[in-house]
Amino acid sequence: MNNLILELKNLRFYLFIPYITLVLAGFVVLATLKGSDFKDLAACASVIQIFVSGFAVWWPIFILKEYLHSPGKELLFVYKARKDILMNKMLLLWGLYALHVVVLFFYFSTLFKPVIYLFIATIIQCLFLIALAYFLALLLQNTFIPLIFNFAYVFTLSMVVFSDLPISIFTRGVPDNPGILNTSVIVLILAGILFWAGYQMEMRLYKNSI
Amino acid sequence: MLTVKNLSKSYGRKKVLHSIDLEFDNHVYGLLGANGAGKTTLIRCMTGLYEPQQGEILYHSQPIKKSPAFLHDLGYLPQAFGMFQELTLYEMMEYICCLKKIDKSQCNNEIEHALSSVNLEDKIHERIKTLSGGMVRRAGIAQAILGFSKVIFLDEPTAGLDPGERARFKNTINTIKNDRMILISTHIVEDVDACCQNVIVIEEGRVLFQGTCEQLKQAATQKVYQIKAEDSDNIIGEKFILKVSEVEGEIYHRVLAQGKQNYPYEKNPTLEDGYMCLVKGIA
Repeated sequence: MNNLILELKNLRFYLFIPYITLVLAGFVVLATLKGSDFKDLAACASVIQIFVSGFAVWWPIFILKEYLHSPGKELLFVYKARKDILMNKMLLLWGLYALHVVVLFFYFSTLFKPVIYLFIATIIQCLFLIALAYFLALLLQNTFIPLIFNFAYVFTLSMVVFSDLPISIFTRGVPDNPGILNTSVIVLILAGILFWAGYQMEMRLYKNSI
Repeated sequence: MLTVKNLSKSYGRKKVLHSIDLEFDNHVYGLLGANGAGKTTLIRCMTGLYEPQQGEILYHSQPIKKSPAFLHDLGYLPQAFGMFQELTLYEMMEYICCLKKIDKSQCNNEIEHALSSVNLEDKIHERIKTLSGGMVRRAGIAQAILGFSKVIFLDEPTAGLDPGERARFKNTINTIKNDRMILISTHIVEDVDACCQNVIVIEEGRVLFQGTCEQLKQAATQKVYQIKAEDSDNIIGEKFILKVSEVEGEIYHRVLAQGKQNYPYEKNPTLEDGYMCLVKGIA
């Protein structure tokens, strides 16, 4: 955990980008509700998913950058024990981000109810996007492409979020019933598969390709 | 202490290391070889970073992968070092302490001790990105010796350093070398001469020589000649010009030659002479 804190500290200014986004998400949701006489909850749900999920990969990507691009990166693999795997770090970062999202959803709960289903759907989307970034970063040995891919995916789908694209991880409509979690189950399974594939690469391929 | 047995490593179809056998004890070893000879690959295999296709590496008779002692005793300075640019030197060392599983209560003392060994104690709160290239290399050595590492691998530690920093590096090695096995990979023969008792010469993935520096120098005995440039053509048999120099307006060649020549040979061949004898096949 101490290592993770130092890695986050190493991000300097970049550490605060997700905080800015989460605060911005709060303001945008408030503005959307005010502008629609507190009725357009579906639009709010879309805004929340785009802002919150879209920036979930920020910390993981910038931490992975040190492992993939920094001079002397192999040192990080020489000293670590077998159990200190990058996948665990990704999961920890997801947990840390989810804690921040909890705070944001406490605020949302004062604006509209219920938020629990939307919250679950959102943190599962975050997990999926982190798993995808982890997988792509190890596959391509690059962190820039996964970051661009993440934003392209999130924002492109946000433009067409109301369509029925099967590749969309986002949920549609008013988030007031457990039915919106149907997509989330598949997204969760996909996240698990991506983590597994990324882990296999980390264990078998990555160490021999430095 | 550390044994490399029949080690082979390939990248795809290209074989980079061919059945390497080496023995290491508590001494400073120089790993000499041209660029692309396989030095870095050998070191990466020895640190456990690369999986060899064949052979094994034993630490106190136990494979390094199964040896917790090896992980504890290991110190490594990669060819390029400069991660965590935004952290202070202390924080970077703290990070390495965590990786090396050094007890938190001992971290502070260990860091101070390691940094004072490389004369960087006054830079402890400066960010890595503000340090000079030489200081970053010294910081790299400090992290390698952190926690009193007993097995230290330094990959091209003097590459890109100015003469002052190189001299400082050699002093550092001579200060920390007691009770440790240190392997320094380099293609700069003077560095090996200045800090190592033992030398390993590697060429195209094969070990050409393992022994003391004196033994390597002896490989050039009666084979090195300092002659005028115009006499160079009179050398009988295979020859190799090691150095061209000017002495009092006259051009001289330092020539490596096989067989007895009609000129007086150099009585004190250098380590570089011995190394060139080996790699040029003049033995």
